[in-house]
This record gives sequence, structure tokens and C-alpha cells, in this order.
Amino acid sequence: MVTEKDVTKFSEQCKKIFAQVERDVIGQKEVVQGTIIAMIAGGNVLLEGVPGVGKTRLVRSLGRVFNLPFSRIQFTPDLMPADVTGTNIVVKDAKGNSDFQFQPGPVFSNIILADEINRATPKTQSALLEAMQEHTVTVMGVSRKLNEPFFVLATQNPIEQDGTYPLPEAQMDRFMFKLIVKNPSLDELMDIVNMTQKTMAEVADAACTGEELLRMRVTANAIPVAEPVMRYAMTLCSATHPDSECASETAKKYVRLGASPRAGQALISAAKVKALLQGRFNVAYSDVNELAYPVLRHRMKLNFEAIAERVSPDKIIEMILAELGKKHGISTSKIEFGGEPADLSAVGAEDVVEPETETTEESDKKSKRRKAKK
Amino acid sequence: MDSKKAFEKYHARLVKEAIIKSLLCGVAIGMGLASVLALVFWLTGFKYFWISVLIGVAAVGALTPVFYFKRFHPTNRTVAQRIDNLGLEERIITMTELEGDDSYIAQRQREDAKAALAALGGSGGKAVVPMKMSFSKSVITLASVAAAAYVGVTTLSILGSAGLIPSMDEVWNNVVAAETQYNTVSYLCYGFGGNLDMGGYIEGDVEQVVATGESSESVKAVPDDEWFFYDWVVYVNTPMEDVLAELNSGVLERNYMLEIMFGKHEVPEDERYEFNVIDNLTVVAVFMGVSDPGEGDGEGEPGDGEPGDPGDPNGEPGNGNGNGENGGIPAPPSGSNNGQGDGDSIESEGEGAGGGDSIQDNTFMDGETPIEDFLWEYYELAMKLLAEGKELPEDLRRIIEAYFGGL
Repeated sequence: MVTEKDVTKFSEQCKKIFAQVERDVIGQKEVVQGTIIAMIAGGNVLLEGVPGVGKTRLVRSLGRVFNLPFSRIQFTPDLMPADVTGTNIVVKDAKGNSDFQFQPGPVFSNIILADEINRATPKTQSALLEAMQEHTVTVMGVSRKLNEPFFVLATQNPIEQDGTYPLPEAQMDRFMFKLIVKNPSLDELMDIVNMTQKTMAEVADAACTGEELLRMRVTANAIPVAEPVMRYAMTLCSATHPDSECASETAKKYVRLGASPRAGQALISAAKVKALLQGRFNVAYSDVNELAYPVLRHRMKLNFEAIAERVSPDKIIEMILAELGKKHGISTSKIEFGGEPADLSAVGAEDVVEPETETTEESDKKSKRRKAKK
Repeated sequence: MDSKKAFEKYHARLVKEAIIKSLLCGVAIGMGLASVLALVFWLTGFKYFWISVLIGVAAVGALTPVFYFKRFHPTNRTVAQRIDNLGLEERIITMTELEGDDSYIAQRQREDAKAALAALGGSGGKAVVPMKMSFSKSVITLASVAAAAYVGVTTLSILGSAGLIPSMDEVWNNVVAAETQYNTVSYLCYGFGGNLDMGGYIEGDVEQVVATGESSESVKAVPDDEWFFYDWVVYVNTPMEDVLAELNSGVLERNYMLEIMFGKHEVPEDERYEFNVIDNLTVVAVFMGVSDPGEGDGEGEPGDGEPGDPGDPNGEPGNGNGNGENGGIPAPPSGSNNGQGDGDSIESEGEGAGGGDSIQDNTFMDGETPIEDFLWEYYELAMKLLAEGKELPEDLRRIIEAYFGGL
């Protein structure tokens, strides 16, 4: 049962989290917000970007901010599954008897940084599958529960192709978001250099605990989704399938394999968090549209035509949104996400952001005119 | 403004919109139906046009409530969705769905939605409704077209039943009749000298009925012995009695006379005749009699005596042997056809032999009557008219002028 205290705390903790992450990470607001949304919603994140744009730093910073045990696994071609999950080793007790004892791997932590995940072999990559979805690890027939909250934040470099192994679809699908880490702007670059000239150390302080994070998840999960919005979100996921009844023309043309039902779950879970972050107690079409890009871009398998025409997944999502928007009469102009979390502590009309629409302005003008006439 | 009051205002606005939409749909279908009926009435000449009016009005009256309750009646959900479109980010539809939920989140959501709705409605408690009515262009267009068609066709029906305009079946019959209009083409033979059915005959169908624009059947003018085919003359839309009257009046000869004198007329090489018919026609094949050419050389000065008496119109074809220089032009009347003129010419006073060659082959109009006889008749007529102080008729003046011009 969500209470007023939970909502107020959600708002306060979000502010703290963002403030602390900003101390270590300059710019990248979209990526930061996306990662925090995914973590609150309980999803894993794949960060894709060229080297040196702050992917690893962001993950490490988040580990500090959430005050959770943090493991970093550097994925290399010779990394073995046991290096990730752990293995049984032979130990002798005080009496000299030998016995197998499970030695947990780095996956037994709360936040896992899978750095350059696509450098490991598919076998090793697959070691994370169970951990990512079921939050358990099975070694030698024994399943072990991972500590909650559990997140995998993976990074990969889109440029280097030699000695890399593209993630299989099953693995990709287990990431709630795929976030593209772009190069910083000139101002951000100057700030980064200024900051790192003083110290390279991460200075972010803990802003919330694991339990608080789980409570935040429960709070966000209580946000209602109206039936038309839910239907729209599911239609969107279904529209990425070229063979579904809701298939969009774009998907028919460019997509070989569409998004799985996990995409629908991720879309709604993340949209709830996003709505609450914005101070809204309901999910809007705009939330779904904004989150469609990080949720769907890695879940669609493009066909040869899309590759030949160099149509990016983001472009395809944009086209599908445009098609659906036209059909449902919804504005689908791309909104960059980012921005500060709203204050949810106060209740009343003052908290509500007045919609900035022409109609409101017109109505104000009309009321003024009426007054003037009187 | 209170959120409930604002919601009610939006609801009232949507009710009005729904009524107008229902009315438009009712008009589109009802008027369309009435237009079809009115058109059928007009086509069939059915006089009771008011039945279509009654049916149209009844259809509009019956369909409007049906459309309202079955299609456009606004529910709380539709009102909420419309309000959300004003930029409320699905707050109102969510609030509507959470009705009756007393959880904390639901309460907060409700407060949030109400605050947003109140803010949208304007301040100061004024019930400002910024939402514009939304109508489908196709429905408006359809209703307008149906109403216009209804007015147009009903007007036609009323005018038709009043007899002010022809009914559609009359118009249609006229169109069909016009499309298959037939024309009569009659062929006549005319021997030069005022004789119908002389000089030859028509080989082919002499009475043809031909559709407008179609080609007539080819006919051929075949001359009798001692005659030759001279020309086709076509009378358009002229009654047969008028054609006959004109042929008998000699106008045709007078007109041809000029051509004969100056050799302007070219006898068609082919006596066959075929053409596109666009009207009722009477086609006359003109034949001319063949005569021996005069033997005189046309020499001789014009005399200065009085004009001689006209020769016998029924005299034998001349064999003039004069040696005047104006051969080829008919000599002045000399009392006979032998070319031995001894009177004054028409213009000069000197004596002279008025003989000479007459028009080769064309001297005799029907094989018997000399052309000069006709000229002389005109001469007398002209003198008489001049003596009475009257003006000469145009055709007579032209003949005389041409004659003296030729001299």
C-alpha cells in the first residue's frame, strides 16, 4: 500500500540521486535519467557508446549513490562462465575432510558492471541470462538467489567489431533499456576537463539504500495506467512485428523480428516511473512515446532492406510512432528525455503544471476581453 | 472554476457537438434519400414532389436521434479523452477510470487531474471552455452536397410539375430525337430554259433519308442526248414548292448567264454527287442543251439604227456568219438568229452586222431557245422600268452591266 510518505520520499530521493550523480557525471542527462528510471523499475541497462564518454564512470557513480555492493566484470574473449557466476571448489575442513564449497562469482552483487560485454564469447555472455531475468544463479544444479535489488549495467562499443561477439537476441531482450551514450557537447567537455583536472576520484555520496530503492519501485508501480494508454503501448510493441495484426507498414518493410512481450512490460514499468518523476500520477501517451526508443531499439531485428538503406532502429521507431500517432490522433513529436524530477511533496493545484496550450491562452484572453467589455 | 463544473461544461459542449454531428449525418442521409426520390419523380414525371420532401424531413428527423444515441452521444470517457487532448496528458481519462478507488495514489491522481482541469478552465470561476468543436470534413461535405442536391432536384421537380420546365423524360426524348435526326435529300433534274425533269435523269436513289452527319448515297446525273450535265444546285431547308417556283422564275438561268458570258463556270468533271448531310436538302442537277457552234466570225461594226425586233424565240439555232470582232458575245438582237443585224446596237448608233459566233455550245439554253431572247426580254423590261422612272432590279442591272462591260 503506497502512502503519502512513500510518494514524498520518492520525490526527495529522486532529487538526491540526480544531484549526487551530477557531481560525477557531466551532461548525459538522457542517459542518466534513463539509467535511473530503469534501476527504479528494476531493469537492466545496456549502454552503448564509443570509449571515453563516461559509461563506466556513470555505472560506478550509480553504485556509490545507491550505496549498493558493486562488481565490475571486464569481459574478454577468454572469460569463462564460471568467472562470472562462481564455481565449486574443494576445501578441507578442520578435520581434513575435503568437500565442495561454492565460491560466488562477481555476479553475486547488487550492481554488476559488465564492461565491454560483447568482447566475451556467447557462452560466457549467456552466463548472465539467468541472473538478469530470474535473479538467480545455478551452478552444479544448485540455484542460488541473488541479492535484491540486482541490476546488470553493461557497456559495449559500437565501433570495434574485431574480436567481438554480438549479443544474442535472448540476451538483448533482457536489457530493459539500450541507451546511446553520445559525445559530450563543447561546454560539457570543458566542464569534464575542469573537473577531472582537480581530481579523478568519484565524489558522489550515497543517496539511498537498496531497501529504499525497492520501496521506490513499489511506489512507482502503483501509478495507474488508463486503458487507452495501456492499449496504445501494447499496440506500439505489436506494431514492430511485421506479421502481427497491428503490424505497421514500416515494420513490414524494415523489420524481420519485432519486440517481445518483455518490451511491453518494460515500457509500462518505465513509463510509470517516468510519470512519477515528472510529478504526474498517471501514465501519458507522451511517456510511452519517449520511452519507446530505449525500450525498442535493441529489440527489433532489422531485415536486409533496412540494413541496405541504412535505416537506423531509431528512425524505424520514429516512423512507427508517426503511423500510430496518425491512427490514434496522438502527437508523436520526439521529446528528448531528461530534466529534473518534480516535487511531489505538496498537494494541490499549485503542483500541477498547467498545460501550455494555445487553447488555455486563448481562453485567458477571451476571459480578459469579457471582463473588459463589462 | 470548480473541476466538476468545468467537466460539466465540457460535457455540455460535447453534447451540442454530438447533436450537430448527428444532425449533419441525418441531413446527409435524409436529404440524399429525398434527392434520389425527387430525381426519380422528376425523371418519371411524377407530380407529387412533396412526397419526397416529406420523406426527406422524416428521414432527417428519424436518423438524427439514432446517430446521437448510437454514435455520437458523449460518455464520461469520451469527454475525458477530448479534454485530455487539450494537453492534460491523460489525467482526466485516468481519473475517470479510477472512479471509486480510494487508494492514496488514486486520490492524488484525482487531485492532480482536477487541479489541471480547473487550471485549463480559466481563473476567477469563469466557465471558460477553450475546447473547439470538431467535425469531420467528410460529414460536413456530404451533408452540404446532399442538402444542395436536395434543394436542386426538388426545385427541378417543383418546376417540372408546374410545367415551367420540361420533365426529364421529355428532355430525354428530345435528346434522343436530336441524336437520331434524319434529313430528306431530294434530287431533281432541270433542263436549262426553265424545264423540270428535262435534259437528263438521276441515276440512283432520288429520295434519300439520311441521318444528320451521315454521308448521302452517291447519285449520278446522266444527261439525255443533245444535253450535257452542267452543275449541281443545292437548296438547303427549302420547301419543294419554293424550289420549283425559283426554278420556274428563271432566276437560275439569270445567275448562270453571267457565268456563261464570262466563262467563269466550270462544268464538274464528275457527275456523281455524294456529301455529308446536315439538313433537309433539295439537289437540282442542271442540264444544258448542246447546240452547233455559230459559223460567223463575228466581224462587223455595230450599226447605228434602231434596235431591231427581237427574233423569234422559237427560231432555229443560228448559224451566224458575221465577221465582227466581238465573237463569243451574243450579238445584239437583230430580228433573227442569222447574225445579220441591221439595227442599232444597244449602245452605239452605227449600223453593223450583228452576226458572229454565239457562245460556243451554250448559245441555246435548252437546245432550242437562244440566250439573246432572254436578254432581249430583260432589255425591254429595263427600258420599261426606266421609262416609268423606276429603279432597275439588282439582278437585271447586273446582267446589263455585265453585257456592256463585255462589249
